[in-house]
Amino acid sequence: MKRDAAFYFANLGADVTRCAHAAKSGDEARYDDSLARAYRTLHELRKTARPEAYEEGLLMLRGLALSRATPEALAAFQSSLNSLIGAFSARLSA
Amino acid sequence: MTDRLRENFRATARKLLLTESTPSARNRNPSVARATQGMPAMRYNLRMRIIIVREPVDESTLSALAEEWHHALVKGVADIEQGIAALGGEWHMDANNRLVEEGSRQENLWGFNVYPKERGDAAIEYISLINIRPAQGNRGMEIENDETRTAVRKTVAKAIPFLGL
Repeated sequence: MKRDAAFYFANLGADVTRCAHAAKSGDEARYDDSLARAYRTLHELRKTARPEAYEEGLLMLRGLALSRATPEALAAFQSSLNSLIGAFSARLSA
Repeated sequence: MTDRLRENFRATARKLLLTESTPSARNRNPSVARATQGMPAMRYNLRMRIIIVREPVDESTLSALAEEWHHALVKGVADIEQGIAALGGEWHMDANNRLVEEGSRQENLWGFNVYPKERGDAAIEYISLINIRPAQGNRGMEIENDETRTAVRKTVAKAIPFLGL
């Protein structure tokens, strides 16, 4: 499979979902670990020379940080993230 | 054969291996088999080391996989029909593709992560990009269906018994 911007962006979404899951469980160690992995994936995304995808990736991480304020915001963020990444996932498996 | 020709030959063979990653795939493609005769098997991603677990793994194996890839966790994909799992790799997609190459059907494959230092519920999570399967009723990255989760858990418990799942 081609490792292009769509591939890394979708996998960034999976990393961020793991972050959100850890935040929901109150597991700070696992959150930090998943966040470190998300930044590594973001770095790979940056190397694809698709600045707009990288910008969106940064926004995704910012959204995660902001959504941690309340459980409701976190749940809404997770739901939106699933919808967004679902579209990329379909594209990857096409 | 001059050194330059030999290098070209090896470069071509390697290029072929970028798309034909496994020995079984090489055997299916005569041109790849010819070009790579006598060469050691290579994966399309040279860092990829994924194991197909048919017999239980021990703690040291799981730790080694964690050390090689993500340290705190090991990514894996379970074939809930055959009761086998692929462990390791940087991306779930790599383990998924290995199982498909081994004959697994995509609809039976589900992604998970295991945490070697944890036990019980904390040792497993069911989040993976490959779990987005709207046609099978799973719209998110986390496995939502209880039966599917149970089947994945059973498969992982069989593959990694010391996690206490």
